[in-house]
Amino acid sequence: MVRWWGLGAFAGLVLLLAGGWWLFADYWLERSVEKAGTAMVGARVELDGADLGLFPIRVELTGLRVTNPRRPMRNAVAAKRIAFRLDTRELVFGRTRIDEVAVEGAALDTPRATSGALATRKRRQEPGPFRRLTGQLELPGFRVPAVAEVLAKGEVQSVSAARELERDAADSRQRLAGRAEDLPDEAQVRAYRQRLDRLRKEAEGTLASLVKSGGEAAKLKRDIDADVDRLQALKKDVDATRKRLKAKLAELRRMPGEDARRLATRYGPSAEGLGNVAEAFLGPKVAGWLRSGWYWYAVVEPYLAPARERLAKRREVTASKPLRGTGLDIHFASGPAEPTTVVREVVLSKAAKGGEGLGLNGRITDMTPQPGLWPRPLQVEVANPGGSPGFTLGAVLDHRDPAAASDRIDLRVRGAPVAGWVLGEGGPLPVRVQQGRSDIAVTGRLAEGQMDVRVEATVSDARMAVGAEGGGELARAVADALARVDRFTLSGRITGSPEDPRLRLDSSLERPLRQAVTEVARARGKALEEALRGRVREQIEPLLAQADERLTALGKLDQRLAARLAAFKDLRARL
Amino acid sequence: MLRTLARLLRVLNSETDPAQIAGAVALAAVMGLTPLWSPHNLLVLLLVLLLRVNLSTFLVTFALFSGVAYLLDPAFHRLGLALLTSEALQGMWTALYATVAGRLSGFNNTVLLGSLVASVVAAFALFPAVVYLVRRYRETVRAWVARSRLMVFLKANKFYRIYTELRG
Repeated sequence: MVRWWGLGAFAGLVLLLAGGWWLFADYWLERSVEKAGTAMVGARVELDGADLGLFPIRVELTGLRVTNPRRPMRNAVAAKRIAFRLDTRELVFGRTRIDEVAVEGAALDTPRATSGALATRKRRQEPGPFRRLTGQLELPGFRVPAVAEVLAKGEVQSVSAARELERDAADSRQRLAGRAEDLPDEAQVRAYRQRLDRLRKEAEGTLASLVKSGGEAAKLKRDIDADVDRLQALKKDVDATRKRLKAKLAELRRMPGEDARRLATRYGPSAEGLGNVAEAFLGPKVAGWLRSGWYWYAVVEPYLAPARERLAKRREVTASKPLRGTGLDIHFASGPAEPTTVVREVVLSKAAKGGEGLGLNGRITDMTPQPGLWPRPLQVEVANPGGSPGFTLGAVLDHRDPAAASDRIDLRVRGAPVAGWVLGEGGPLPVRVQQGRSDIAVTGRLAEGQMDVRVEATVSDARMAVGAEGGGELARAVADALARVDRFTLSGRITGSPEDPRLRLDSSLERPLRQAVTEVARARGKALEEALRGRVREQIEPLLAQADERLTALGKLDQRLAARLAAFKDLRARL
Repeated sequence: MLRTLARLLRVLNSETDPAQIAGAVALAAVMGLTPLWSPHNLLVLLLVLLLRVNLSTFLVTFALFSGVAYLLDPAFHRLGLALLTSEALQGMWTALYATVAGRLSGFNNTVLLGSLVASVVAAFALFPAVVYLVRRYRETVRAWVARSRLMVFLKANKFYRIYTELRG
């Protein structure tokens, strides 16, 4: 009934399977880690080797290299050795529990011998947030508009005022000359003189004729007085008109200067429209840091989110994996809900000193993809205290309550080289930092989709050069200003949501840069003002000449009126 | 394929104990109808090798049941789901779920449980049925088949040569 050789065959089969495991498990683990890591990062993830042991389950990875997808010739992270043990019983129950992951010789930003870019796959899509920041930051243009363009756009008050003056002078002359026509002239003087002579003759006769001539004399005097009054009134009007027109003419001669100044201020280059120069120059750099940080946050963030299936209540039956042919796994709550995967502590040690890249020592605690089922948030405390540049990074990613998720970061970097930085990148005046070192402090919080990030940086021993070729006067002025700067500070605050960020930057570079740009703007504005003044004068000069002619004519009228008035007064004196 | 069918015919026509053939079919039903990489199949394999069941019959019927299983998966899923969500059985399932053996067995999968229950029931039904059918075949059908025109035709082709080679 029993086939004993079958037992041997079964044992042989089991041994065959165990042998296959022994031969291929390490290879399978190595390939699995590389494949999963590559899919996660979007660039090549490589291992020198892997070792998977049983009883207890133990994993050791050596020579890990994670390519930076944005710089395929650099590794974002590298580690010489990673080792951890898994709790076998928990694994049987579908839970991964790792008390400690030992990471030795970890480093950031190490060089690669070959590119780690994926040939067959597209690069991971750059995250959209913060892209808009650089778009906001541009230096205003310094184009000096043509004189004709400015005159076409802006109303030139001098020309309209000159036309008005010319019309006023012509109308006044016509009106006053007309009135002068109606007033007693030389003929009237002669008539009065004849009446006076006749009265004198009559006064030499009888008493009766003397009395009669006395009445005539009084009448003559009244007539002469009336004419003198009319002449005086007209002369007064002429004098006032001449005085008014002269004042207007004098004012008009000053107006082209005022017009030119007003138009040059409005349409010419001006420092008033300059905005925040520090934002224009340093904004793209800060936005680049934020984008870089957000990129890696976006890589990690999906693994921090709570898993969809959660054992929230005892005795609750839940279902997963609704795939045809594989059925559904029905879960029966066997205790308080727990996360499927927890890494209690990752200890980074034995960072290489003085090697390439940034060595990492420190610890990361409470890593789980289901933070809602774990009592403590994920915390990061890593540093490279002895390295150059030295840095410390502290972070708390608290996603225990998905509705009130809160992430905090505190990064401090000391002595980071800044050679190669380009300030104002993509703008009209890129400035390349040729040498210098920086101390940077970044503190930030992201909660409920709103962030508050503060950046403080000090750059010392700096040497900068304006990158724009043929940038002309502005480039020279900025270059001169920057040549005198060997130390500057940067203070920034970013608020709003990652999709709609608001950036406010202040820098000690603001003053010299603003001064340089302002001086250039002022010089160009002055030149435009001079050109405008000349052109406006050309336009109003003919009108002013005509007005001047009318004024001269009024002067002659005034002289004539004065002579006539003198004749009448002389006649009255003889009466 | 021809060789396998020939082996099966040879077994049927030999003096092999019908119980050995029936045992092979019953165990093949369990292994074939349930997902192959399930822990209980290791036990089935041990039984197949240890007990004197007919290996040729097991291999042929295992392939047959594997094909049928693919078609029956939706039914197995419904059966497993009904069992796993049955209020009356919740206590048992929850207790089993809390044990290492229960977790290793993967019983909480609808297709696995449904197919295991169905296949075990089928195995118990198949065993006496196959014993009866093999006996009936040998008593009545074998002689009739040997005289039939079809058999005469078959004896003239390649299949029969293979069959006779195996029969030795």
